[in-house]
Amino acid sequence: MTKLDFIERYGQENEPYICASCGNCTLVCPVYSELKWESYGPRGKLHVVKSIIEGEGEFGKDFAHKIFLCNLCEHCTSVCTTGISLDRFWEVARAEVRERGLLPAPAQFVLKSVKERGDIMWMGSADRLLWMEGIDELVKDRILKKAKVAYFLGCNVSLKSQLHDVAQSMVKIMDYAGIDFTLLGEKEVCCGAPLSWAGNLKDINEMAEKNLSLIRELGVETVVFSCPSCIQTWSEYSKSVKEDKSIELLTASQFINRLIREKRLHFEEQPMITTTFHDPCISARVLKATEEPREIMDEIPGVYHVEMNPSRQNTRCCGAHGLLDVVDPVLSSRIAERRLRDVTVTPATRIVTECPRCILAFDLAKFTTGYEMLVQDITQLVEGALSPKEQGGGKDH
Amino acid sequence: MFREVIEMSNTDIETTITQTPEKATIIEMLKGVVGEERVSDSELERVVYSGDPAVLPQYHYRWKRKYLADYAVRVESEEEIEGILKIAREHNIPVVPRGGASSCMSSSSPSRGGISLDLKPMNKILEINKKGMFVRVEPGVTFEGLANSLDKENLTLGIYPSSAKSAVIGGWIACGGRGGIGTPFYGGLKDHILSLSVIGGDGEVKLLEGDDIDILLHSYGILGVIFEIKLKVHENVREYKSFSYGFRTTDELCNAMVEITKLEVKPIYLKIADDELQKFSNPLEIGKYVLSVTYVDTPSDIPLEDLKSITGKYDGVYISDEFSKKEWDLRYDAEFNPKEHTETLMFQEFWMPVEKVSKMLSKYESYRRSHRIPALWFGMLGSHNEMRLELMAMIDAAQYLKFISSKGILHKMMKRAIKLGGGPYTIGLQNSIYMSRAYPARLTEMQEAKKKWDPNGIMNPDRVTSCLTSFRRIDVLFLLATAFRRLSKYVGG
Repeated sequence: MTKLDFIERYGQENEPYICASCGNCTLVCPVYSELKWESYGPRGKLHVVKSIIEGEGEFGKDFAHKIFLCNLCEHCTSVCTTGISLDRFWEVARAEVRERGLLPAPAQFVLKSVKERGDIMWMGSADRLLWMEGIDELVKDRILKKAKVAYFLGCNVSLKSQLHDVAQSMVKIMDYAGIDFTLLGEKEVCCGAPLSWAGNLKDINEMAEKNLSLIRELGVETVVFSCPSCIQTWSEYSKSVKEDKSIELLTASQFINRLIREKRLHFEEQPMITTTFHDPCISARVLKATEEPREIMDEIPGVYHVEMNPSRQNTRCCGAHGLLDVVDPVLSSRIAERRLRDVTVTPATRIVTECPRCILAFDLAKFTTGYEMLVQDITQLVEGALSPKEQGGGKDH
Repeated sequence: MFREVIEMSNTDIETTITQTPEKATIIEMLKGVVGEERVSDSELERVVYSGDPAVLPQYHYRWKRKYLADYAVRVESEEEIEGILKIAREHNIPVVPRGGASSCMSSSSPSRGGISLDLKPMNKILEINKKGMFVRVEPGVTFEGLANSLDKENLTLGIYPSSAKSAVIGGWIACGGRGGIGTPFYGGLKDHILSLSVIGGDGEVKLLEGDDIDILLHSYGILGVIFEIKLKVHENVREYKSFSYGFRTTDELCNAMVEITKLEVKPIYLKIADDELQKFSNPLEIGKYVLSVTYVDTPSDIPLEDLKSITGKYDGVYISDEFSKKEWDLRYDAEFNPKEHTETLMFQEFWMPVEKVSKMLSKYESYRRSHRIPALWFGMLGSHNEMRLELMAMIDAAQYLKFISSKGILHKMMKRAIKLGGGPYTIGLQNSIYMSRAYPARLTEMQEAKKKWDPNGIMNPDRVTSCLTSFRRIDVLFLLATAFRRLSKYVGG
């Protein structure tokens, strides 16, 4: 018998035996769909872990690499007939990989960057202000202001220039709706999600707490996110969020939908936009936030929403989640291309989503496939459709 | 090791596959057929491509001679299958066809190494013919995938196994396709296959139609590899209505079930289970046993008054609409749910005449009490008068004595089933020892077909027509094990 310390420490050693090997997970796995070998799929990996525990296999570099060829997209978890939290298992398996010194170089880089720079891209706190360029008036008094609502951008939206418009759109929507909100600005640090993806489970709470202590000091009651993984991480790994239920964590679409219901947002007729919504894995399968974006699109006149197949809880991963985009960018891109093909069989000319990783993945896949479609965050679609403020926006109108 | 006793003689097969040439040469040849990307001899793939749900616990495997495949090969076309089989014949290498590997009893697990032939990549729906009401598919199409495609045309196959999400059509044919959801209403897979295209172990390509198809059902890949299937389809049905009743005794439950199966209108789905199994999916609040039955939701297809009268006669109590609907919603998962709570869910599946289910259950209930085993059970009507009965025990495999004695009880139950006119539902590697007793005529038929279709004996050896151990050996082993178990009650084991 081989001792797998981390798997035992996190109480996961029974999972390979609980697996009934039904194979449901394999067929929905985006990595298996591309690489076709069962050892890349969840059932196969569990089978290998079992053989390692039984002393009939080795936890070698090859298997360690395969543990990282995974999007942590929760699809296997959602179809598991025996209810195994497979994604939790893969995170713990990654911790085992780290413990054994077999971490892939990109994952090592992410750990180092989060620890030393507080973000995933070896940038720095000052860079977290760059997205504000051009909307200085809207944000100048917002940073670290006491308010009931906070907007948490996350590393990608803060630091990647092609996503700055997502943040700007959200700020414009909040301003339009008359929301008193705050921003953490350069004090914002990584939510901690990449730590779990790179096998460091023990420091996530500390990372989350750096943000949360600040948020609590500001008197915030609702935190709005551009990235669903941040919500998942805090919900699962932050001790204070688990204990103190007074802080509400909302996806962008959950928040915007609320603003619409409160009649704080008003739209003008759009020139026949046909959209399809890509449900980000974590939004759909973990946060169950599938209806809000659709309800928002239904509210915007001139926007015709068509469904992609598969969608909602059965959505296909964009390929970029779980560090796959850095561990194996080619594989990640192939998965994104497959998802874009789902769009091409619909009449949609615009794919709307609410996850920065999905946007980045699709933008790249558009380039590699040559598909012509606009990729947007839900906040961009909403902000672009708001009627001029003097004609009907804001709470006071 | 154990291989010395072959109850059903097949010594030709024994001698032909004992020698293998240099691995390097074989793998190059395999790559020559399917390309480098679709052949692997890595340990990881060999481990993964050698198991199915029956691998639990893993030591179950050790009595097998060589339980790891030497190569895993993914095929995508008829020509590739032909090429691989040719190499296998020329070098006496066993070939184990593999579909979704969602069946049990080690149907697609090697016993002498060889090639694990993955047919999942052959997953194209070749034709949906609405006018002719048929569909042509490759063997690796999943039931769920086919259902989704047919649904767009307002068609349905109507029948599917409870593992429909991962089970592939070729695999279910090889396992018989007798009892599944929809089969009491639409008939089994046998009634749906219009033609089968197969490559025999001898390399001959055959198109089977009519009664000739029968030989491939329950053949478990020992004759050849199916590469195309033509199936009858039906107009789609979208609405179903379910009814669940609680009963106090197994006799009352089974009497009601038998009468319901005799009604003119047949259900889409009929399930029975005990409260132990229900605990893990849809806990039972009324009675100790449940009967859930689902019909197509049209007034003419629901025998509501008959259901009321039959269940009332046997003191069955209607549970609730919500409970009944949940039973239907859980049709894929109900059998699997207990597995979530145990490392080893030991089970045996029986194919029983419905009239005899009561006798099986009363015996299993008496074993539950006398041997104190954590028993649970489940049954699904397969045809209008036969049921797939699944007897389970939640046993920790680490407790060897309990584990092996519980297997012994399931072995006794199988002997009882055979006496009552039933037999094993799935054969695979593990249940081949029962072939001569449960299905002697079929065994003779399959042995003759094996000689004709696979003279080199390369196709999925050691199951159906031959086996690695003997019934007598297993019988003695389990007799001792159950005796020790009983004894352990008195010595505190």
